Amino acid sequence: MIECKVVSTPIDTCALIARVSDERSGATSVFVGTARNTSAERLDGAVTRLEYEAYEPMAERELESIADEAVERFGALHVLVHHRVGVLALGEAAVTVVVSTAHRAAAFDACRFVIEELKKRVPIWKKEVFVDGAEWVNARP
Amino acid sequence: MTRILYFGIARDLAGRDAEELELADATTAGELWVTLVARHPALERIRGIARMAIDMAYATDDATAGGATEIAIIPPVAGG
Repeated sequence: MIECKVVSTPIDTCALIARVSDERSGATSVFVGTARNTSAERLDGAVTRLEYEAYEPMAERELESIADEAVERFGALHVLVHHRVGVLALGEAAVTVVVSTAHRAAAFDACRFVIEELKKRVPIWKKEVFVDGAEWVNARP
Repeated sequence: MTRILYFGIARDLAGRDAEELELADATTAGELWVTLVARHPALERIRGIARMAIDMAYATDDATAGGATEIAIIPPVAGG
């Protein structure tokens, strides 16, 4: 099963994990990216919330292509990726990646592959809102 | 007509989230960039770091933009 979604409500990571239960699976690897109070620009804990937006149809299409690659390269049995958009409070999950495979090494590798590729090419943007302003992440020339 | 979409900082710089443009069939992505920067000069700031997606596929400057339904300006992504 491959399911890649951009969602605007809180991500239920436990529900996603439950969905990859499978007799063929010996390993499930999970990555959860959460909203943090520091950034590359502001190490002083000044981030108060994050705002994410996506080019939703293309984001889901790119995620599906990454998930397909995870199946092909690592033998993933299931790949679920939910990425949140909208305003996130600190501590909330921005993204959850759940991958199940027959053996653990492939589960770790495939999960890492999916999140690293997501960061390179999925059209999603993050604005950090500080106590004293806001800035789009990675947008400085 | 081709719909141009602006996301993230591109939306802030262009001052809109979308617009419709009539593109000649032979227009390339690079030529469209020139047009867009002329319409919204602030976009020059991200010309070197933004990508363009033509009908939801990343495109290089020599790709054909004319005839597309939807073209998106994609500033550096920051998902996760």
